[in-house]
Amino acid sequence: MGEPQPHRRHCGEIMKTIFAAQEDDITCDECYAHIDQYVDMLRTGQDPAQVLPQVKSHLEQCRCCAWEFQALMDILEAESSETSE
Amino acid sequence: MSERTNEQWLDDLQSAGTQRNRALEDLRARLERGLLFYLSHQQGYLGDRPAEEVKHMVQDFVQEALLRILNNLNSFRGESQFITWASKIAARVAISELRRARYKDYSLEHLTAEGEIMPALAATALSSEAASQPELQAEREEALRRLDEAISEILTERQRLALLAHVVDGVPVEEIARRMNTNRNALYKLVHDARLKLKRHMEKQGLSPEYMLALFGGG
Repeated sequence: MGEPQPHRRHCGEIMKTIFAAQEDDITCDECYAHIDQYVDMLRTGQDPAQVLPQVKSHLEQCRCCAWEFQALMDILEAESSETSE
Repeated sequence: MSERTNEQWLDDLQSAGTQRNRALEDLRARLERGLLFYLSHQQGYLGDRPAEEVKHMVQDFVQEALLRILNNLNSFRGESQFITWASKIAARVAISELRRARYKDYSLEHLTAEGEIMPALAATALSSEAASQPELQAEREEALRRLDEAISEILTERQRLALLAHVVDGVPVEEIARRMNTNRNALYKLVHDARLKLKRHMEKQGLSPEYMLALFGGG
């Protein structure tokens, strides 16, 4: 959970970040605009990649957005488990 | 607490008086609950802060989030649950502040100095497995030397700085953007363009992405 600590990253991670980059990518703002829809689809058992493939691709390439995505999932999980009690 | 529909959330928050206040307090309570749980599990960013301090931080984050939510109600498109959309805003507020605090002492200066980055990394990052396989070690060192050369030769200075700060030092894009007087989107594009440039350049030199990923176990 969370981003790596601010120390030099492992070579394998660095290579993956550089060499797994895809040609088409959306901006962080475009990802953010749709991340709530993406998360809700995941949480209701749907496959958001069918509807929002570029969001999925961006999350695989942008660690910052990936962290925010996971945080949103965790927050909603915590919030809904308390609400249902 | 009965669940409001999206329409009810919007109606209540755009109304006045008791109806609006009740909706605001319900929303505040839900966002605080979710954020408190989340931040309680972020020891890497919060260290040993007392529970009471974390609670106050959450309250501040949620207050800021509520202002943004109220100012942007017209941008809610109804493609998700309102709570999800609101939680998204609260999460970004909290994470942005955590990042700002965590990286407050980070500077790009060490990246502007001349010198090899990748081989220096290799010296500290080579595993014991590689150390016992001299050919593998030599192959990795050569690949890193060529990557370092590419970073120096084909990237602009801004691309080089942004790439090294994000990819090597692991600094979040919004923190680098702040230091380079730009915004998160522009910085991400700068890094992304740099990554693609390097990938294409190395491939032209016979070092395919598949080869590099396999060589360093990053696949």
